[in-house]
Amino acid sequence: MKSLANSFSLALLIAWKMQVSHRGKMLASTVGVAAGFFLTMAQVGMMMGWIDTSTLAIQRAKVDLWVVGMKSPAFDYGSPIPRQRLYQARSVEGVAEAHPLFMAWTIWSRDDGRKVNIEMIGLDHSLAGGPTRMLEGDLRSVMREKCVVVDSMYLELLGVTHVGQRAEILGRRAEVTGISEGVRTFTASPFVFTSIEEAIHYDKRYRADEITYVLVRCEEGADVKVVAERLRVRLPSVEVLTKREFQWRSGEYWMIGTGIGFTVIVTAVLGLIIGALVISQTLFSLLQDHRPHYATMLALGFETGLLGKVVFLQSLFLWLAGALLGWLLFAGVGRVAEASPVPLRMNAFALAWILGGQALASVGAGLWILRKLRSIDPTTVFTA
Amino acid sequence: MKAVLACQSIRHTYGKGELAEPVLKGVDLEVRAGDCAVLTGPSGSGKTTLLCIAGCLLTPSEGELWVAGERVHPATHGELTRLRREKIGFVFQHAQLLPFLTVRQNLDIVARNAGLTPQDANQRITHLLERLEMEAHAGKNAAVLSGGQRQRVAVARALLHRPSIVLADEPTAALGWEIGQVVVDLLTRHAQQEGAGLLVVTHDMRLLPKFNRRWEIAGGQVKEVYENG
Repeated sequence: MKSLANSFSLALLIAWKMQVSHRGKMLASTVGVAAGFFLTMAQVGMMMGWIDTSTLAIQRAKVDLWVVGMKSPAFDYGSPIPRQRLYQARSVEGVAEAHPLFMAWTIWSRDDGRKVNIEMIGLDHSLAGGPTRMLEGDLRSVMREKCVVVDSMYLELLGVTHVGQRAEILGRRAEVTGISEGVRTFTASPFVFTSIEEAIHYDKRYRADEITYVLVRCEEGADVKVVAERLRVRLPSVEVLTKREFQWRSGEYWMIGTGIGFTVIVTAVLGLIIGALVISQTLFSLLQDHRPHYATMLALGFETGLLGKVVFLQSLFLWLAGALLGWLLFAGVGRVAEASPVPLRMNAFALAWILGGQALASVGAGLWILRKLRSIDPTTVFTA
Repeated sequence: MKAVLACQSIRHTYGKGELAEPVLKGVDLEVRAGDCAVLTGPSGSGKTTLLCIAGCLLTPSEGELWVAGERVHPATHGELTRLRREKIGFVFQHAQLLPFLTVRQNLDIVARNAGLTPQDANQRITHLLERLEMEAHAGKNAAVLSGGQRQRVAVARALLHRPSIVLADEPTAALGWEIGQVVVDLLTRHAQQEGAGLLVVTHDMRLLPKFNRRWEIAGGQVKEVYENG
């Protein structure tokens, strides 16, 4: 144990001093590794942000179960279901409350004549599925005729400058009575909130007795899965999904169904490869620069294993410095992106995977260099 | 005095088949503790090959090698490394210090690698640096030292772990005559004081009076030219 600690501290000293003797090269390499790291984190962060955004409406509703039209691929592409399903759901044991939600694609006309595709969300008196934070006005105002609430993030896109402004939606006049905060949309078509009774005027696919979703809250202590099963029996012509299932389905549709996820993952892997390449090239260059010194150490009786530790520690230093700088970059860009429609998200699990992936790539680079290390002939010290 | 280095019927050939080139053709050589021996010979005569074999860096094609009373061959890679680490001290032509470390760190890593405790290593480094008049340079980076200073540190490095035998390859070739003499004096004096055997390879005939034994290598064979008590 003592000898292991001694060998480690020796390797640490040699690795560190060798590396810092090439400050310029190390700085450039660290930036390279950080760029690879950042690329991976940004891609994963962007994907997580997209998934988050694409399922935000589902999260925001804070309900246990969703009754949706058969094979509805995502929240944004719900299909009409009879309003009767709402009443049927309310009668199922374990259901505390059930509310309708309406989702329609329609067209917003700006004052300057430009047209903007919007996702019109119709709420009932419970306001379930509506925004949770209001900057101006009252969400309840949507219950009034021809009143809408828009989100602050899309004011410019919609050409809205203030509460009270008039707008035109598919030929119908509407008044902006409130501005919400934090309601991002994944489709780039802003959410606009109004009442169900109002919203139904904007989508001709719907009949007067149709809605898009039934949002179900279970009774306290009720088993959500059991209630879901009861609902499935009671409502065979529609699908009943838990919140998590619907989130997964929406995320899966956008990330896998559209191919976006594949592109993102390929780019994220590319980031890992770039990091590994920079590390391996730097280690190789260091090894070449210090070949005579490695030969000297081998001649003086340093074990190849100890020198291997030197190489591994150097790859660890690069990995750590790259990860730290990459993280700082990511945090900075993430902060800026927070106010944009494309937020970056990261959680401990994803970060652990990225760190682990990059660490594995670094170890791989170190192993490759180790093979080169073994080819050093200590007898060259006599001919140097 | 016991032999700290013994070569018995050492043969070594580079290449195989038609390309085979025998360099050593049955070399017998013995260095005892306290000996200051010099090996001379023309270029290409096999001096460096013999030094590599004696330093456990090269396995001879045939013959037996004994270092500090241990029969060396056959030995594993790890055993050869251990012998170099514990029993042999090296002084190379260009000192070969690690330029990114300070003088003290250059010595410290060798001492710790040889298994000296940090306390013992510290005392020993201080002692040797004082004796070699290098204590004022202990904190300097090896890269900024002059050639003579580097070779002094290399001498300290070779003696640090109290080796049984010190092997030096042209230790003065990269130095001026004055400084070269000083380095050889230090090497011979301190090797004797430490009780180690010393085998120096050199082309510089002016240095010969500083050694009590001389071997000459020619035609792949070694013969002892003289031994002065």
